[in-house]
Amino acid sequence: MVIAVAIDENIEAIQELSKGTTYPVLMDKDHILTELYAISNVPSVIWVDETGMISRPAASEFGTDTFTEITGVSRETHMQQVRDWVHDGALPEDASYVVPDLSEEEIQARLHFRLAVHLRRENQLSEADIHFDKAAELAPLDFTIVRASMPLRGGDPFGEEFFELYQKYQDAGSPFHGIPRTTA
Amino acid sequence: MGETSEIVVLADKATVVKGSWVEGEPYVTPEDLETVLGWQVKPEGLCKNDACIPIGNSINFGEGDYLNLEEAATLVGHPSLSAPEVGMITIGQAHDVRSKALKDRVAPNFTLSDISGVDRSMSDWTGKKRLLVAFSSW
Repeated sequence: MVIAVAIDENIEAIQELSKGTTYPVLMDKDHILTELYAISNVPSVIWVDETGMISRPAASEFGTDTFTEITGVSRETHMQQVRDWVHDGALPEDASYVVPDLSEEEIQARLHFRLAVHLRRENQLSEADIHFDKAAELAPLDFTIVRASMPLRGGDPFGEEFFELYQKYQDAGSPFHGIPRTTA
Repeated sequence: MGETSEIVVLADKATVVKGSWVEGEPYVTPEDLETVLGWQVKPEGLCKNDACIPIGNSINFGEGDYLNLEEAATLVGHPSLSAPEVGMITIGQAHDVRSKALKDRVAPNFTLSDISGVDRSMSDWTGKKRLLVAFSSW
């Protein structure tokens, strides 16, 4: 089964995106999952077995092939791997990859982000900005921090600032808490 | 001991407690400490289930009837961030829970509300193979 968790503040947008889904969709406004599982971007997919053990750690996987050219990840490859796992318990080779832990800076960035979203909800916007800035300073290439904060600060997560972030991320060698991809 | 004020504690959820700020650090009652942190204050130290962590001679732990929440969080392995200027402290997830996920492959449990507002836990679906999909609108 699929358990979808929205690392997101915007419940209306998630309800819209989730129309017609038959699996549970949970709201993680405080980004608890990014702390518990060391997640730094979405989508991240983690396989958990019947007993609650992680069979395959976080990896970027997509429900469509819209971004295949950019990501080098195909939907069908993952779907076939999932089928093999569900039917025979077979795991792909990359399942044994050990995801690196969050750094002290990435942990502190999450705490500042959490504080910022709470302050924003309380309408203390200038105080919120201070902590959004601090979070981005501590984890400048973490999408769950920098990109997630864009719509919360009046920015556009699909606009110029996203492309700047993506360029910086690529220039830095695409650091990601999950199974690395060998892409062009 | 400084003046009593309301302190917003952002842990698994947001809780408002009565407390006091001393040198930028929040002090709360033992009862509130247990509520927000899940560890009980006993003569042996901070206790949860059968485990106790001695407070020992941690300096600045107690101020009268109040205890240093930031220090307590550190003792039981949670990162924290105090923001006295806005009367808030954020307490993050325990280091060892994430470390067990990454190294020992134990999937941390969590409880979040679904898009209809119903609380759901990962453990509700024990016995099934699960694809945990983190996604967003951004």
